[in-house]
Amino acid sequence: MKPLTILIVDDSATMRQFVRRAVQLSDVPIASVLEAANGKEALALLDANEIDALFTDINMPVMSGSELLRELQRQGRSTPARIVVSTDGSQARRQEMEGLAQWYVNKPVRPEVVRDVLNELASNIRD
Amino acid sequence: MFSTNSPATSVTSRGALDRALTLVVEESFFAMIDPVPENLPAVEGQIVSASVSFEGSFSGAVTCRMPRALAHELTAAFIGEEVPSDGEVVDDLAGEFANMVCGRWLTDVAPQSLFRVDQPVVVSASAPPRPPTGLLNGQPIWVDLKIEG
Repeated sequence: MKPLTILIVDDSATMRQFVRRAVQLSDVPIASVLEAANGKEALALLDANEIDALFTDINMPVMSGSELLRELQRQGRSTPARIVVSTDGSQARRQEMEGLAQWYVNKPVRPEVVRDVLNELASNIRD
Repeated sequence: MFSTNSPATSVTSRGALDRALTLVVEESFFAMIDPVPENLPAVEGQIVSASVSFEGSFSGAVTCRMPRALAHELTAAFIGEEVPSDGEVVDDLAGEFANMVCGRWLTDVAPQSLFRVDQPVVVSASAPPRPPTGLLNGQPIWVDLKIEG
């Protein structure tokens, strides 16, 4: 299996580190983990790197996760796979994210949930 | 996409806020909120206060206050490594803690509504002159809710 390159987007440094740790503890081979503090930084990294999966928060300054995902949709990008990581678990937010992201994970994030998402993603890439 | 309905009684219910705190502590930190004993010693040291404002079908703010020493412990547990006790990382975790409690609470009391949630505001503060919400790792934590209007 080709090791995955992951991008974590969150304005909280501790949350980025938490998700990074969860990614590294999963049993999916990881090539590298990149980080961005907002959607604008994420777009720059996406332009410069081949990224397999994107974990993004919603509420961020400069450019929100919703704006980032809409921009990726506008650009017609098929990759990366998109995982929303949000404190907002409301039905309204989940409906807003339909079509913009493949997975929706509630904060607080459980490491086993990150592992399961990455396993499913890796399986989809293999298939 | 905001509801025009006024907040339901459950919005101001203490139970929902306490539930959100318990779930965040259990799921993110594998810890528990313990009841406050009658003769709780006075809090020593700095208190860190983190407030998260929200706006939607109703508006307000959730504020979490805890001793800096507790915030430091939670930060180290959360990211899995030691950090300076007076560093930005501890403030960041305090803000994210309040963010998670606020988000969990909003999801519980208004699952059909969308809210704009602002970035946490983290400052040093004094211990509030009232009993804490509970004890976490043996240290007091206060969680308060303000609803506007």
